[in-house]
Amino acid sequence: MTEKSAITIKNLTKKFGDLYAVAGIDMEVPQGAFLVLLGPSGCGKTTALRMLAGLEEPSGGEIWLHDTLVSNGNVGIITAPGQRNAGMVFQSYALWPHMTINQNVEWPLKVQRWKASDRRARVREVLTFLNIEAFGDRYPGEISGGQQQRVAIARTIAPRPKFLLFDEPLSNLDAKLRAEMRTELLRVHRLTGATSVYVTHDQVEAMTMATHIAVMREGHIEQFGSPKTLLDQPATPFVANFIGTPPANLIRAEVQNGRFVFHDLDMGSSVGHEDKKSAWLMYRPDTLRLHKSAGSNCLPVEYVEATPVAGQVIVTVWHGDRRLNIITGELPDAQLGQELYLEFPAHPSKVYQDNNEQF
Amino acid sequence: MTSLQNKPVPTASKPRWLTRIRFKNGSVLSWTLVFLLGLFIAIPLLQLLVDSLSNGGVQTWQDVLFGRIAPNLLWRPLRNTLFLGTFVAVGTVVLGGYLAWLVVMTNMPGRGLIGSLASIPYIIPSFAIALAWETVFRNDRLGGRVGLLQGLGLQVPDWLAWGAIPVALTLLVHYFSLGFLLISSALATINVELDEAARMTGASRFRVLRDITFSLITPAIVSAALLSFANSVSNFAAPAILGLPVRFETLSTRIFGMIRIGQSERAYVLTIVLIIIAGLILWANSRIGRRRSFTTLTGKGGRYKPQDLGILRWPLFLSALLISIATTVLPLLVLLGSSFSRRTGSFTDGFTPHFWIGLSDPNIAQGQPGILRNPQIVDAAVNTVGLGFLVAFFASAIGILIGYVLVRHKEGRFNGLIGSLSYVPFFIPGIAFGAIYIAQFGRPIGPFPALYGTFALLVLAAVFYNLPFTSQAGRAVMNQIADELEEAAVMGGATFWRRISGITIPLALRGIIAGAVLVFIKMVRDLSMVIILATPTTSVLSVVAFEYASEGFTQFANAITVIIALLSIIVTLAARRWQGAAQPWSES
Repeated sequence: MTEKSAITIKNLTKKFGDLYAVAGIDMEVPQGAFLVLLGPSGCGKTTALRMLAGLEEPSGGEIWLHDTLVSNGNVGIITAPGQRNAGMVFQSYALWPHMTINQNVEWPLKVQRWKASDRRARVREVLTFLNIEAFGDRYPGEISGGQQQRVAIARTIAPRPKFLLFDEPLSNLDAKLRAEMRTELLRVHRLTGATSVYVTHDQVEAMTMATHIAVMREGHIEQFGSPKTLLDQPATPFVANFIGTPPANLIRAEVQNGRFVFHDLDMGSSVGHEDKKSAWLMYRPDTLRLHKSAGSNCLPVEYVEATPVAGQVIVTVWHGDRRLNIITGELPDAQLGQELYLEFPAHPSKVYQDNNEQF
Repeated sequence: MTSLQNKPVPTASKPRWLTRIRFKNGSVLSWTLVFLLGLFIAIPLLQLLVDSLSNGGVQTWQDVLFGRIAPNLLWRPLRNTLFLGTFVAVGTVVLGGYLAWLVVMTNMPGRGLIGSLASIPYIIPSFAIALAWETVFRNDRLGGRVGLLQGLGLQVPDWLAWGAIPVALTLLVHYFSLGFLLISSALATINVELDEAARMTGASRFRVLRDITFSLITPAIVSAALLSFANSVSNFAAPAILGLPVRFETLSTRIFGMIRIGQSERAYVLTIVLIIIAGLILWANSRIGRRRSFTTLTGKGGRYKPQDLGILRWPLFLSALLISIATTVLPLLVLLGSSFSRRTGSFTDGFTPHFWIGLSDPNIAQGQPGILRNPQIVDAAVNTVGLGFLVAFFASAIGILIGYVLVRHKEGRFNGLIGSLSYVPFFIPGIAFGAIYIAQFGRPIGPFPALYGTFALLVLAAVFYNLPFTSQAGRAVMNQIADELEEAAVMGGATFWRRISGITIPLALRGIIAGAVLVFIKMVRDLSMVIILATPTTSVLSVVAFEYASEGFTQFANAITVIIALLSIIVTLAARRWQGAAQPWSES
């Protein structure tokens, strides 16, 4: 544990019955960081967050907040959730339906024995901060989803927590609101100076907001690092296939006579993998080329769709049941289902061991 | 950085339960509940077993189960009991579910009216419905007075006047509104999006109803069936009035009979047999229902758009209205009418207010004054109301705590025990439950004095007698409050009591009060348990009415019954009004 770590997690596990929801994770997160726990549903990210919050007991391992041991596998919860100086925004917002917006935001302050005048001032302050001061006397059922989200955030930050925990908070919002709230959340994060932990399955959210990302899968951390590290050096094929817009392409090539071979195409030297039968080759979308007619070393593929993004075009094609993404300069002149030809570069961007997994 | 080890490193541990108890919310509560349930349910139950062996030992059991008397004493009554329970459980779900669907989910006209009417039969004591039935259908098989129909010259067949059919129908009329209440409140709280999502798949209306709506309210249906089964199995008054005269016995009339003639060991054996059989049903049910715990209400689901019944609107309304009138207005009218009738069971020989307000007249009813002039009845009324309030309060309080523990701490080590113990009284007939309490608390225990003949014993027994119902209700209520609402309070640092009082109780209040009102009404109209615990100084209205009825003073009995019904109806309406005012947030 280093001096400036705000959150330290050591070999944390959580068992439900015989199943490990979280199967031993380690992490150190510096003060003020915005950590995103990223992964598909069922990867254990929400369970990890709830253990951080103190809502679940770990089955093993330790959680430290600054230099306090708050949970471990032996005792369970050592520091109660309310004593952790942490606020949480729930996926459903969990606004108390029987209290007005003002009461919702004020209630946690009452619990913490703030003076009435301070409470009122703080409620006013956070509601104004989130642009919802006009709705103070309404009930949660009487405002829109986006406003409810803002109330949930206001209620969470009102007691000035040192840690902000978010459980997929944007998943109930439409795309435009979501982009807006991302900015809003970053503003909240910056101005409160809190260390934030944010759970999502949306890698775009992760890449835009995080200072640190932990990519989780089946209870493990696949990779922990900055968004740039994850993008530049994905540690596993899973991460490569999960991160990036569009994500990198993976194909499984056979090793033959010191070369990688994929559907009779030569994919480059297999040096370092000669003793294996096959390997996963990763190609970044901008290294691939699409052609309308067949050429040497080209793979026939089926055209699916094209999405213009910021002056470039993301083209998606099928090869068998595998989806491949290519970034090109202009919209291809092709129909859905038309055959195109994909040219690979001389060498893959990265090569991964084949552990008999599918991506 | 990356950790890819497949198995976590095991951490050395000391005994967990020792260290965890301190931090685990709810464990103090669990211990308290286990203690209470043990003292007031488990131990008296064991006492029952001990007492069944106290006089004659194992021989008593052999006689009752296999002896020469066994078919008459046990097996035939058992068959009758199971028939009644099954009939009423199925009927309750079908009839109650049908009306609940019409009232909550369709655009049938007069939904409010049907909704109010459908909750009334539960208010009317079962012995009143049985008496009303007798007033109408009694035939000349036993001689003496006859009912209205026979009086008009119609020959009423025996199967319609006595035995299985009249008892089963009487009980169904009494209990189906329980199914209506449970199922309609479950329907009213399911998230409409779940239904809409199903409809988007192109599923037919019937399919959605069957696969989605029906499945979501399965817990409510199961508990409706369970409750009505248990209630009708332990019901005493209806088979006593409509069955006993033709020797249609159930286990509870048998138990009552045995206690009455002083053979309490045999009664205890019968009670234990009943508890075991019912326990098997309960166990099977929990096996089936284990995975059916849904947290459906997230606090933001939309409301149902009423289903358009189209051309069927009015015919369906008519069917609902007929059911409602036949089960509420009709019995009440018969009761009210016969309480004024000069001659018992006849509406054609003139009417008199004597049985209500008359002064003592040696020519009528052996000189008894009208019930409103009878000080004993006024005392009994005060006792009744007091009993209802106390029991409703304490039983609901314990029930909601049980619901809280079972729902919020699903992994709690005592949950199975708490859940089962709080269910147990379901399957103990009221009479037997009363008898157990006399056996257990009728004598002094340590520093505590004997409670027999005291009001306290009546309250104590009634609280635990009602616990299956209130803990079910508490559970249902807690299931409807999303965990996150409370977790959000935990994150704010709120203590257990703070969360309970600030979040959980306000949100659960509607459900708690609905449950408490039902308990109040149940106590006001209960007969089977109080009949054995009440003494002349602690008498209640239902016991007085039953005594009048069995002595042939039908008009007095019916007049008191009308009072009981009015009292219950007023309380129900007042509680509903208050609930509406107490939850302004749910009006939008």
